Amino acid sequence: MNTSALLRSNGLTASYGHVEALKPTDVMVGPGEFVAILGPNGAGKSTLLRAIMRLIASSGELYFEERSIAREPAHALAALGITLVPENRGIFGPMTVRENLDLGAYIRPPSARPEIEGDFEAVLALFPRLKERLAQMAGSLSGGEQQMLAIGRALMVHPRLLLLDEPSLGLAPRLAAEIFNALGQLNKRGLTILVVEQKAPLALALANRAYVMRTGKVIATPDPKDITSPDALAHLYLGEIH
Amino acid sequence: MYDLSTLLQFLIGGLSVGCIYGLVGIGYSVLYNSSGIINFAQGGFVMLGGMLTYIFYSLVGVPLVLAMLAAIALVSCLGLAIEWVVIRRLRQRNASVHIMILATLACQILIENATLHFVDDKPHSIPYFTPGPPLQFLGVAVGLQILWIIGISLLLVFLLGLLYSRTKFGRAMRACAINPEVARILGIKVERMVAAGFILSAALGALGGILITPTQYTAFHIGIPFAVSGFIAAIIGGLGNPLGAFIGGIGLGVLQAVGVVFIDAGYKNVVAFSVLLLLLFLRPQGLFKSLVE
Ligand SMILES: Nc1ncnc2c1ncn2[C@@H]1O[C@H](COP(=O)(O)OP(=O)(O)OP(=O)(O)O)[C@@H](O)[C@H]1O
Ligand SMILES: [Mg+2]
Repeated sequence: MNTSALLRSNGLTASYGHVEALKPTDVMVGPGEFVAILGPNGAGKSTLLRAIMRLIASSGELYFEERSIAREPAHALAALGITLVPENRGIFGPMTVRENLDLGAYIRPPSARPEIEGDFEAVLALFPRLKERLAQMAGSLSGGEQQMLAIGRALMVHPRLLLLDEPSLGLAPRLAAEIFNALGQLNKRGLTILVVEQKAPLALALANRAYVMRTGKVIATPDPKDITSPDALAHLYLGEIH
Repeated sequence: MYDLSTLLQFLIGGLSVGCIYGLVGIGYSVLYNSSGIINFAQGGFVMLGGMLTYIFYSLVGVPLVLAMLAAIALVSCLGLAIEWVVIRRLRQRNASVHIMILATLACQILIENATLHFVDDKPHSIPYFTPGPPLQFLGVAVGLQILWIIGISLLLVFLLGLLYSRTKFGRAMRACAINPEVARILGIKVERMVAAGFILSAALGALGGILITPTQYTAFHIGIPFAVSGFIAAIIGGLGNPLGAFIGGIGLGVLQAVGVVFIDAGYKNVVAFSVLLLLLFLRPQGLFKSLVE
């Protein structure tokens, strides 16, 4: 057991009806780490993130800084410093970019005003494209801009652990690279990141560690440095279960 | 045919009824804005607003203003109770929004029958808010109650607009309707926002009922016609847009008044449903932009 883990799951399990989409899973994220979760469609990656966020009923142990969060209601996690950029971004389309960002800071008290302003400026500095579009309806942004907004909104929570579910989904390669570049910057500044990503090279270039999932469980924990070729990756996806 | 002042007289009547449709429509929109649910018990809230005010004022002997406030408070509690007892349980069982909407229709029928059972089947009314002769404009008599109806409705529309666009609370409510899961991720207590939506929509319904009762009457069965007209108003207005619902309500009220003049009073509902059908065919998203879609 690693006592310095920021997030740690122990036999975390989740089902949709009778389908056990997440078999007992142990994952760990250390402070300051960038951890990638890879795996084919239907592997249970989103289910794992949703179980961590307490968005679906789960069993097993779940700790954030050694404090059990397995029974916390989902809405309590933001205050603890955990947030998720969901699959497909989940931006509030009929609201402006500004309103979306403001809602990111929903749980922060009025006394945190200076810090909130600081985070707001930091988000706009990270994604200058949002700055020009603050008054625009979020639903009318391009896919890449929406992803930037979703990440920006999550940053307004001022999280200590940021979870992301396929941030490159549906984005042109150049935009996906831009998003991951931003994630790399955030990690360098000390933000702990756990990212689910199918475009493995993008995530592996930044990751300290990686989990490969298939059919609801972790089947490998390769060292990202060892996965240098598409072949090595394919071997992991399809290869024997360790 | 009618002369101009008679026509205007009908229009004024349509305008005031339209305001009430608008308020009921706003009730739908307010709840929809926090939960995505359509609450067909909305008509029951309208009926109870007038009925409870009558009970407190005429039977218990409470001063009118206090009777009105008590009625609004009680109906709000009923809205909260429906959320707690019915909607929350269904949600915990992962019921679809359609099931919840059906459950609200059951609540409406329950409210009607309880009123019939515990009160009676007779029409009742309450006094005008301010006594006095109607004002005369261009040969048209405008009752003081109509001014109350229009004034309070406009004030409410204005305040709700501020709530949704300017306040953290109002935006959080909308966030819950747009994407409850993301709202939760951001730390918003979604159940609490839905409960607030029920309270607010019930209070608006009750207030609508109280405003209109002096010019007409209230009885156990008046809820559904108001619920239907208010629903049409909300659809016209782009469900989830309070200002749109209000304009939709006024439009519908005026159209019905015109229908009464040029066709026949019996065709009031034909006009209402024709408008609904036309709209559903031509512009199902409503005439105005929803705040949550
Ligand atoms: N709401 C749901 N109801 C029923 N089954 C579900 C639901 N969501 C996911 N599943 C099933 O659970 C399994 C894991 O799904 P999950 O979304 O976690 O996979 P994933 O690894 O995120 O896949 P992808 O890369 O396609 O996003 C799949 O077999 C999927 O069909
Ligand atoms: Mg997924």
